[in-house]
Amino acid sequence: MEAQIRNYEISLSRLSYHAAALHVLLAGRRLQRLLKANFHPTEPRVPRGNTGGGQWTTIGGSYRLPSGARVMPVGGEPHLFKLRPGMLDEGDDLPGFEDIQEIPIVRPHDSSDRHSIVRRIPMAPFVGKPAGTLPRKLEDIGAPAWLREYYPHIDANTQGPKSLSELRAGAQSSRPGYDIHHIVEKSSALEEGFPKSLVNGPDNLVSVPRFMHWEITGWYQTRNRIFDWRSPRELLRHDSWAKRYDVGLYALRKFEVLK
Amino acid sequence: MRSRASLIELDSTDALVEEFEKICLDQYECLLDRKIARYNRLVDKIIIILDELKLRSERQRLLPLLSHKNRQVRYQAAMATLLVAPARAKEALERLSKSHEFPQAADASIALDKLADGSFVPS
Repeated sequence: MEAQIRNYEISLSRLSYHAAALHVLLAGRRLQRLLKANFHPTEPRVPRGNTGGGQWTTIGGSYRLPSGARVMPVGGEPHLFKLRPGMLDEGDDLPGFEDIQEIPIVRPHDSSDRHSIVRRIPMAPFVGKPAGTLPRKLEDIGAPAWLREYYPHIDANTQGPKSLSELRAGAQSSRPGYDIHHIVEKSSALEEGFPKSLVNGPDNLVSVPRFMHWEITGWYQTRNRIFDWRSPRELLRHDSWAKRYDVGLYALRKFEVLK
Repeated sequence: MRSRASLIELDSTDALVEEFEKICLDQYECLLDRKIARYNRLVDKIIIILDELKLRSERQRLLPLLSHKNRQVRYQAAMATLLVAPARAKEALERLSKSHEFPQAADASIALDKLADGSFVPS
């Protein structure tokens, strides 16, 4: 009898555990849907009680984002944060930072707009500085709060080059602000018949700052006078794995990701 | 942007230099916005202008752009003037290569490597 009661208790305990796990799973899926819909609490919404209440609203006006969306004042509040030379306290002669950079205070809906804005923040003067230096400065000057989700990316971009073993070790797990990068470009290598095991193998994978990953990927695709106005990708067509690998490492060094 | 025919018809070298600057500024925005296809199309416009300036023996008119505030303008101007003012152009590339501002820092560094080993010969 006691054994029977004990068995019932164990079964109830298991049911309770599975119910809790299901609850967490469903909550996670709901969060995933919201993230996919670019949900963010600071984005403006049509007030409750109005047509379309609760829906995200586009705001039109005088400041145009790269996607074409416009930013305008809402209710007389300031809509742009002006990042001026000298505000980051690294001297007034920041290279290339002579213009005021305008950053929308409200988080842009489009991720490509957000990336375009963040990548224009002058990070070069902070290369090699201790982790967190530029994010702290952005906090100190009251930069828009939505930039915080990009502090890992900004920090990663200023950390300076690492050894190949450090970059490979970083590829073992996912880190905010970093991407897994293929030393030999993945798509062109697979198209030309190199085996997946080689292309996606550990020797070919490194963890690099996301913004540098984008820079290097762009470099492979852009036409360059050095290569007779062809792109590196075009130039490497039909080349050996070894040659592609050498170029991949060379690019990582030139973009100051690899020591 | 102007077509090849209309570029050739411009009888002012100043206008060509101004157009070159505008194209480079557009390329700078393309790189930050990851619009690579547009960047590559703009390369054709740059080639037309550079060929015309070479025809007119006026490439040196790009030299003032070596001190432009925009790094893409400086980079393209340096690459375009290596033949007519190698020391000044290389100095501009050296500064870019140490700037940590990408991709121009990487491009400048690669250009200097290729110049040094002879695999890139300015034209």
